Amino acid sequence: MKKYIAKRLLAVIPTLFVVSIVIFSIIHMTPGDPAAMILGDKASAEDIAALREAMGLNDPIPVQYINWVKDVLHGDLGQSVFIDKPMTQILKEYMGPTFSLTVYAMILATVIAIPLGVLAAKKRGTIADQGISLISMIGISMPSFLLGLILILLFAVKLRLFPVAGYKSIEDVGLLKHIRYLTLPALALGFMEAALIIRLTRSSVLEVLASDYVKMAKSKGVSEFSLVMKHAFKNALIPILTILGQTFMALLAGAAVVESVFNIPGIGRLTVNSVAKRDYEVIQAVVLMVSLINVVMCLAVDLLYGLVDPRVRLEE
Amino acid sequence: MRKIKTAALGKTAALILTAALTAASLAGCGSGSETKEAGAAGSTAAAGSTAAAGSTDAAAGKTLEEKKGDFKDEIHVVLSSSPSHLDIVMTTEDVAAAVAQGTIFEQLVALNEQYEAVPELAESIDVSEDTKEYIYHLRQGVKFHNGEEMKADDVVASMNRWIEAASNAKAMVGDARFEKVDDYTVKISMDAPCAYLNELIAGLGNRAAIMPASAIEGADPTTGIVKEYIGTGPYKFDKWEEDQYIRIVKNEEYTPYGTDGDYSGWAGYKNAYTPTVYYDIVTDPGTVTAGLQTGEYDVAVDISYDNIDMFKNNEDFQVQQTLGEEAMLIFNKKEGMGADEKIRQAVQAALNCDDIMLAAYSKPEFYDLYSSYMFREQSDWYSEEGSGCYNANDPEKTKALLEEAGYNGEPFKLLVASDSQDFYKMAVVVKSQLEAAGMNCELLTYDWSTFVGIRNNEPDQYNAFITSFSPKVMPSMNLYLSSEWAGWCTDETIQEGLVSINTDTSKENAIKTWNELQKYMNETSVPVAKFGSNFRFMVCKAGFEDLGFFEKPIVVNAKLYE
Amino acid sequence: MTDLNAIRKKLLKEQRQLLVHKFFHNRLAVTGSLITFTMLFLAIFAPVLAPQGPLDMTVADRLQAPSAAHLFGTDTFGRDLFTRILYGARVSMTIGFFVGIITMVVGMILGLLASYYKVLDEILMRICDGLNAIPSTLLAIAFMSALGASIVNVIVSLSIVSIPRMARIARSSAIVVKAQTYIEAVSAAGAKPLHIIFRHMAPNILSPVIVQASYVFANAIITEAALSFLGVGVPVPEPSWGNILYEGKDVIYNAWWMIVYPAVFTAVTVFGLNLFGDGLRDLLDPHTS
Repeated sequence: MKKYIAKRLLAVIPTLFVVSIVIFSIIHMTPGDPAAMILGDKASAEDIAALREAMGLNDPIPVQYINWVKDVLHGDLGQSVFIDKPMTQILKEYMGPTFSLTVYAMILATVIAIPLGVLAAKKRGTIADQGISLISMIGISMPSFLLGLILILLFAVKLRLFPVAGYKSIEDVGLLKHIRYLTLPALALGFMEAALIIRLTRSSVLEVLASDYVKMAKSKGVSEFSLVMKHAFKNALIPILTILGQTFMALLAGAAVVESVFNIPGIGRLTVNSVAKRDYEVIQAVVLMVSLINVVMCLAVDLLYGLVDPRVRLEE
Repeated sequence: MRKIKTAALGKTAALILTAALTAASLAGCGSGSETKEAGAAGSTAAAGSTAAAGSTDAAAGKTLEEKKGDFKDEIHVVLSSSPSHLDIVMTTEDVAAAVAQGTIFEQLVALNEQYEAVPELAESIDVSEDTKEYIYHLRQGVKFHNGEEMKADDVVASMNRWIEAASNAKAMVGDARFEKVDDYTVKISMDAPCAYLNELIAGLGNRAAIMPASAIEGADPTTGIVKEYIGTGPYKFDKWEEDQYIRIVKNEEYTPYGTDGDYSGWAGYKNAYTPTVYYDIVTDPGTVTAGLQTGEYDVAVDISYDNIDMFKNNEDFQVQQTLGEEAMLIFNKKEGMGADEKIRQAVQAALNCDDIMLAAYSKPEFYDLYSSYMFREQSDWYSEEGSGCYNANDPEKTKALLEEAGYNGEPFKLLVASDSQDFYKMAVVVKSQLEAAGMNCELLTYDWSTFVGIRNNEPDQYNAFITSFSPKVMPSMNLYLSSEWAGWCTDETIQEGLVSINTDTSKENAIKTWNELQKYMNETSVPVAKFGSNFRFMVCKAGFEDLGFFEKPIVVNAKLYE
Repeated sequence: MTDLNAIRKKLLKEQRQLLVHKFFHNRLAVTGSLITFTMLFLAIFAPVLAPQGPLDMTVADRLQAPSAAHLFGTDTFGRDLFTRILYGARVSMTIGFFVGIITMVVGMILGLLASYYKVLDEILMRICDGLNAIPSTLLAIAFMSALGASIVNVIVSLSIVSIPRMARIARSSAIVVKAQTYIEAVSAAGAKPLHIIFRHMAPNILSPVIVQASYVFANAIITEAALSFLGVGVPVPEPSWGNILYEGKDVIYNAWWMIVYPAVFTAVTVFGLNLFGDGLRDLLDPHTS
């Protein structure tokens, strides 16, 4: 087990190396430059050229890459051109909203989806099952920004139940208001994942219900409820865990769009803005951090397998 | 940079509109000599009304005291994008000026609604007969937000920094720089006459903000941007939550200049009734519209034109209108097809400006169609010379001109930024019109950064681009006529004409030269093909009083009653 | 020998008939493919079906509600929305289709090679891990800014983003196949590695790969719409469902048809593709009943 963890942790290094090369190359392939963005639209060409030189943007790209890697290894993630704060603080500030949003979306998705999935499996073939299937298919087919717009129109503009957009941190307004602001975005973000989880739960539970040992238990007179909860559900947990790990990644990715619609200052929006402004070091730092989170999440999920189901042998 | 008429407040939208336009067409733009007098008159008025101002202050204070609690102590203004920074000397971004100009930072002179430069931090200004020397007498006792008093050293440092940052200003003053005369007097002496220096200071895109010399010294050495936003204005910079909001709060130390209620454009008496102003950064226009309806935002400009009527018909809102910008297609005259005069004329002849403007601005009431480069509301410079070539919608003429030019079917490459909805809509219509007139047209759509990069540095990539410009006090300030800026208007007739206008001490002669030039540009040279000028709209809650709209929402006297 | 061949052919034929039979008895698969083929039909025959050209505009008729003259109303340029959506189907389906195909082919090749050569496996899978670690939307945005907005670049970006996952799926199936005795037999008989990989292993991993490709197809349509929404999708004036939706978003209060029709088309198509994928999976995967 320890050996396995060590091996997996070591594998993180080449992964992050690939990430850094990929993102660095993309960024420097991108036309446009931050100097022009700092000076504004109507600045003259000489002013921009002078600032470019001063910012070291004219060094050869491999040199810039090596300098950056050196800095990162020394714990220096670089300096944003537009945000006058240390990078770690920027990452922390922008990660907060995204983390809240993602976790909330994940909770919503799981809390809604797993019971629905189990229900659909239990009532297989009935109207309830078909209804749930339809909902989940709609969830998969609906782009999140569209769902976001519809939610805003319905719950914010028409019914005035939730605010239209924006973000309020827990420290500023307390947990309840914090959640109120994040509810619509979390719904928009979590719906698609919920749909996936419903489908997966349903099929996993069905599979387990069809297995011999469950049939045996049934014949022994174990009640249906405890059958589903104790045996079927527990054994269906593994594939569900897998998708939860993926869900977190998918939510992080989807957050870019949802954060734009709902005006949430998270890392998705930070990336979109930084790409637009060519704030190179921010993009690099964000992608590196998010990739690291992803890799660690995957590892955590794999380790959880072992806890949930001792039959899974991690060494393989 | 934009200079725009604003409307009086607290009336219905229709009234506001009429009033603004009447005032605008009557007012016109101050001439050189008038401005000099205006400067002097301004200072007299300020000095003369001190006593009166005191009493008004007391009265106002009392009513204020009574009214306290009636109006909100914070308002939320929407910003459509996040500024890079608030050092408005170093950037021309509208969103930066919207937050900081006139609120945090003040200038020697500021524009009023009549496009006149009136003294702000200067108490009075002496201008020599030949307009080569300007002497500014500073207000005494003005405090920066850090507690220091504003003195000549700060002004000299600020103004010279501004000259270095703003190529337009540099071009006009040459090697001359501001000098200290004594603690409360600065001057600048130029080699050539410079009739419009005050207009330049009051209205250029890089704002001539006055900051403490110490703040300027502490600026970031690479970018030159100051690290702290310290000005003299009625509001202080308070907090910037990245991508959420910028908050400014009332500067309790501030003493308004002039008389209460005497405020126009960006100039005059500023009271800061509302202690806290949030500039909420909301990038999605749909979210802005929804947030206005639910009351989360109090003020927004530049909402989608298709939604304006919805707010006009809703009594919970006021809609105000000001001059917008002139949209045009700027030819790349450096190389390629755009360098050919005949091709430029051909493109101009193919345009149907009604359709172009309608697609971008949704209703004919929301824009104005005329050929003059200078705005209709600037009666002095407005010129109908050569208007026959404008909005011709004449594909046959285009075909004839193309034949003359030996056009070979090569695609005309039109560069446009995908983030600017208006411009890309125009581009799409222009493309269809050019193609209807037998010209191939290819749209090059890029995000803003790439667009700017290609526009400035890669003239071999495109033949023309689309953008818009705010009203300028004088013709040479129009960037699209610059020989240095993208488009590269190097036509000698135009450049010589502009120099002669700039240095002409007789306004009449200058206007005559401009009329000739306008005719030449519309009929022959065609450096740009103008589409039209739009209006801009501000939507705010019905409860607002004294919220101005002059390029941007003016919050310095705004009160929002519940 | 001929006997054996004849039997093999007969068997294959029977197998195929059985599959076809099963397919048509799978309601999901049938509905899904019906929807998908209808959309493909609309896309291919857009020029015949559409009443106008996709760029023909009468600006004065902008934002007209649906009527006999304009079945789905008009957009902000006074272009016929029905026409735009038909042509949008072309662009969106093209993007989805090519992203699906490219992802399938490249992902399969990478997965097969990785499963066969140990050294390649390490390298390729580390690269896939790296690409996989970057959130797909962010990666696509970065690629689009780097490459510039065009349909081809949307296809390239989305393919790059979805290949790693496909490669993983192909690889894990291929490892199972590789361990089977007949591959060992072919190998022992002296067949060249590439022959083994593409002639014998590839056909056996097709089914999970095709199922995944149908999801990639569906996902590409949604992601294109999201990219358009963020301003880095298919450039105007070429219509895609994504950029029609993007335009519609600004007029949502006064022109519902600009959102509803493209949204319905997008959702139904993605729905169809997912059903199709599910049906196919049920059909090909012996585990599900």
